[in-house]
Amino acid sequence: MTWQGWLQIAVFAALITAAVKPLGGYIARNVDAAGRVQRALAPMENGLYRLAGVDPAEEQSWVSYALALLWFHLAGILALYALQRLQNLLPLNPQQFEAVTPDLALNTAVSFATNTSWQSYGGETTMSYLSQMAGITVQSFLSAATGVAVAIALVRGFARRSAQTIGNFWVDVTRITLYVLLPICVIAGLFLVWQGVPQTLGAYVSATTLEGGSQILARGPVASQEVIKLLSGDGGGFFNVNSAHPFENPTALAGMLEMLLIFMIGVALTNTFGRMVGDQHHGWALFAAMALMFAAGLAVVYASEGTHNAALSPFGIDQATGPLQAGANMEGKEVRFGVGQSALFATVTTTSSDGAVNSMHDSFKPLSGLVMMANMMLDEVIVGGPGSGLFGILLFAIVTVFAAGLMIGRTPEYLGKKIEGNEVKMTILALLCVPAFILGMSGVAAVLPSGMAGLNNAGPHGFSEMLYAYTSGAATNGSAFAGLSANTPFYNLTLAAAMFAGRFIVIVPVLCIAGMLAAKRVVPASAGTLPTHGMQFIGLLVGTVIIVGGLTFFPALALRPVAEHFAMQAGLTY
Amino acid sequence: MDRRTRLRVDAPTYPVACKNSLGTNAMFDLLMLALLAAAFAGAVGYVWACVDLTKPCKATGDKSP
Repeated sequence: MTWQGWLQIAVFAALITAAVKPLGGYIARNVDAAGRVQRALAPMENGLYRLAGVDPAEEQSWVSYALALLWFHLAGILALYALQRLQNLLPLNPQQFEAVTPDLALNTAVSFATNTSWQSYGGETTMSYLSQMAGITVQSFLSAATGVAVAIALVRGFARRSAQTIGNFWVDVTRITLYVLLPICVIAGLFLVWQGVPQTLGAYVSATTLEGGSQILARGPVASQEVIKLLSGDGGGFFNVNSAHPFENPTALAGMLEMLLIFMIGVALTNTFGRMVGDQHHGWALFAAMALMFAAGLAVVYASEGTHNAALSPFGIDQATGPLQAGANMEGKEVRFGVGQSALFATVTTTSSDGAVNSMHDSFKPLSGLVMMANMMLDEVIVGGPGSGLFGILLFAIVTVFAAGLMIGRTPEYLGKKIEGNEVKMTILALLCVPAFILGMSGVAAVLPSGMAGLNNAGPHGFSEMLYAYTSGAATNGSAFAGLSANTPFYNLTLAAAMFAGRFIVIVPVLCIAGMLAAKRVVPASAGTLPTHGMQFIGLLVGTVIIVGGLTFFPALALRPVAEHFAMQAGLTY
Repeated sequence: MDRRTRLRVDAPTYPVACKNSLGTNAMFDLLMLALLAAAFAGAVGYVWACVDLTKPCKATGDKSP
C-alpha cells in the first residue's frame, strides 16, 4: 500500500460525497417536478410524447407501470437481438463482421436490456458499429433510466398519501434520459475524448510496431459508449478488456472520472429520496450505511492487493514498491493504474451494478475475490446501479424496521407508513429470489458437463469462476472473473435466464410495494417510532444487510474463495 | 475496404473466441425467440402472482394495505 493509493481513495471519497447533494437535488427537481432544465426543454419532451402517443398527465397504478416496463424491455431485447443477427446486412460495419450467433445475440440482448452488460464476446471482434451504437449504447441509456424510474416510483410510494398511482413510466424514463443521463454523458464524453478515448466511425487501422511487425488497432465510436457504460451502471465495454484497454481508459485521470461516473447517480439518489420524502437526514443515513460497507470492503481489497503475493515469492519476483515499479500484487493490473486505483476500481465496480473492469479480477488474491463476490451478493445495496441501489437498500430498510418492530411488539412504521404483512412478503420475495437463482444455477452448472467444460482452473478457483458468473449475472453486475469460457450455448442461455430473473424478479415486487405504500395514510411519529437518522438505524441497517444478504452465501463463499485463501497460505494454487 | 486491414476474429491480440457451436440456422432464431417469449410470459404472470399474493386475506378479515 502506498500513500499515493490512499490519496486517490481520499480524493475519490471527497469528490463523490460532494456530488451527493447537488446532483440529488437536480434529479429531484427535474424528474419529479418542474425544474429549470425541464421547463426549458419542455417543448422537446412534449414532442416526444406526441410522437409516442403518450399522455404525460395520465398516472399509472403499479400494475400498469410494471407492465409498461416489461413491454418496453421486451421491445428493447427484440430490437437488439435483430440488430446483432442482421449486422452483416446493415450499414456501419467497416470490419465486415458476420451476424452474431443466436445464443450469443440473445444473451447480449438480455444482458444490456437488464442493465447487466455481461459480455460473452469481445466487442472489437464481434460487433459492428451499428450494433454498438444503436443497440448496446441505446439499451445502456434505457436500462439505466428504467432503474432510476423504479426507484423514483418507490420513493413516490413513501411520499404520497392515500394515492392509487405511482407516476407514469413513459414520462419517468423520458425525463431521466433527457435531463439526467444525456447532459452528464455529453460533458463526460468530451472529457474522455480529451484524455485520448477515440470517437470515430472510421475502420480499424494497421500500425507497424517497433519490432517491425504489423498490428491492427481497433477503434470506433468508443467515447460515446464508454461514458454511458459507466454512468448507467451497465459496464459493457467497447473492447474485450473493458476499462483496462488504453482506448477506453487511457490515463489515471480518466480512471478517476470513470469511477465517479459509476457511483454518481447511485449516491445522489439517496439525497433525491430524502428530498422527496421531506427528510434529507434520512437520505444521509442511507448514504452513511452504504459508505460504511464500501469502506470495509475497500480496506480488505487494498490491504490484500497492496501486499506481497506469497505465491510469487518462490520465483524470485521482486514485489517491492519503489520509484520504478508499483510493487505488491501487480498480476492482472495495468501499470498506469497501479494497485491503489485497481483495488478502488474493483471495489467500486462490484459495489455498484456496473461491472466495468480496469484489471483482471481473476488475478486478485482470494480474499479480494471474496469481497468482490460478497459486494454483488448483497443485492446491489452498496450504492448499486442507478436506481437499483436505492430500491435495494430500501428493501433492506423495510426488513430492518420490521425486525425492530418485532423486538418491541408493535407494527413497524417507516417514514410514516405502516409496514405490514404484504410489504414484508414482497420484500422477502425480492430479496430471496436472487440468491436462489445464483446458488441454484451455480449448483446446476457444477454438476453438468456443459458447465464444467467452461472452467479454466481446477479446485476452488474454478468454482469461483462459475459462482462469480452467476452472481454477476443475477445481481445485474456484468463483470467477469475471467477464466470462464462463457461463449457456449449452455452459459449463454443460463446466464441470460439469470440476468432476466435477477432484474425483473426484483423490480416487480418493488413496484408492488410502491403501489401499496402510496395507498396508505401517514401515521404521525410517536415515542415508539424507530428513529431513522442516527447511528442506531445505520448500525441496524448494515447488520441486516450482512445477516440477510451476506450469510445466505457464506457456505458457498467458504467452499470457494475462503478455501482458496487457506490453500494459498499452504502453498497450493489452482 | 481493403481486405488486408480486416481484423481476424481469432487474431492473437484478442483472445476471446467469438464462434460457438450453434449455427446460424433460422430454427435457432425461432428457438431463442420462443425462450424469450416464455420468459416474458413468466414475468407477466409474476406481476399477477404479486397482485394475488397481496390481496386482503378473507379468512382473517385483514384489509391491509
